[in-house]
Amino acid sequence: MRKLNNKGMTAVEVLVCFVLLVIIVVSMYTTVSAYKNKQSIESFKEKIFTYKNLLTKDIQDDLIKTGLISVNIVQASSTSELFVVDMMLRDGTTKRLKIVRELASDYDDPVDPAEDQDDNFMISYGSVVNGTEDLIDYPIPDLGYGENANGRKVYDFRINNVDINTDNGILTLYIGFYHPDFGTKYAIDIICPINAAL
Amino acid sequence: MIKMRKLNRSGFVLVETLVVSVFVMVILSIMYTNFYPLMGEYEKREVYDDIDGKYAAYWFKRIIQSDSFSFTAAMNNAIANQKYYQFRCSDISDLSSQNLCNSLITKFNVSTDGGTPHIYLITYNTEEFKSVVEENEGEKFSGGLQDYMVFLPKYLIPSLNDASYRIVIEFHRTKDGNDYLAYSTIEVKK
Repeated sequence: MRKLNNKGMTAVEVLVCFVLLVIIVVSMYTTVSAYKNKQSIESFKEKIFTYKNLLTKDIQDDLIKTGLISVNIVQASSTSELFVVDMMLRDGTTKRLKIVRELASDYDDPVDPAEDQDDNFMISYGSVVNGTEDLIDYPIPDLGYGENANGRKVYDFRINNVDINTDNGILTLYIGFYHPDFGTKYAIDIICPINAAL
Repeated sequence: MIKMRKLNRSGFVLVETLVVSVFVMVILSIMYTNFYPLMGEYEKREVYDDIDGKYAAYWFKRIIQSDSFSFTAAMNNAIANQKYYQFRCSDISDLSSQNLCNSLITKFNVSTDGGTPHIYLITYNTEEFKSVVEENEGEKFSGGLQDYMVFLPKYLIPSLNDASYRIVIEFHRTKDGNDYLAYSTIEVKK
């Protein structure tokens, strides 16, 4: 019978192949890991964009389609935790935007536990009829949270600053957001002329 | 006696394996270098026609469509020959609309050059303006605008709203200390 070639690989060949494989796997791992991180950031971005677009469209639809004739800033200051603005429309209705921004104490600077609380952010928008609110809550996207020294929730995605003004006859509603990955890049920025004769 | 055919049962030698591995890695590298710019392209497109830009463009469209703005012969000539007209708030006849226009330019962070906002009034069909921007990129127009015009469709099918014109706006925004340009367009019926 014919003698078969039963020679296998030598130890050196196996070793070289193994080393090559390890190098490839390690380089692939760092690449895949970077893309996985990018994927989660993109998913956060998508949630932020969806939220921003939805709320902006709901408010702008009223301001543009019905027409904004006057604005009453009920409560708004840089130190306030509650911002309220009433927008009077051409059809006689009043729309209210309410922004709640209550902060837990900082990770590094905890306050008395009795005075501490979870982060609380809420944007509500809707009608006000005869002083009665009929608002819809638009909770900001939950992109994860940590806990401060008092065990209170500190959300990663938070309302950073609010600016409401009517300078030069133009309503500006600016709700700035903060996220550790994006900084203060994203915001709801609604600008609409008041009673524009166009 | 049946003569058995001799089979070639020798495997790949190390050199062959290495050559194939190098070949595959070269192909993967080429694919990666071609794919990577697409990621940057995607990030750049985040600032094309975003919701803030669209609503900003809407207000300038309202101003141009209002009675306080009329096309002059010079504007029509510029659109016909130069393929665009750079809109200015001083083109508006009534003073209150002019002031509103100036305030909106500041509020919306429209790019300006020597006081002239980067609001380009062009035909609804963008084909000719695309060519003009490409020819004058770096001189009259920014590289960002050229990229945006490449991104935009030509709008060869007439507008369903019978719009004959459109505006293209360049915004200069600053976030976290970083300056960047954003773009938006909207049709104008006049």
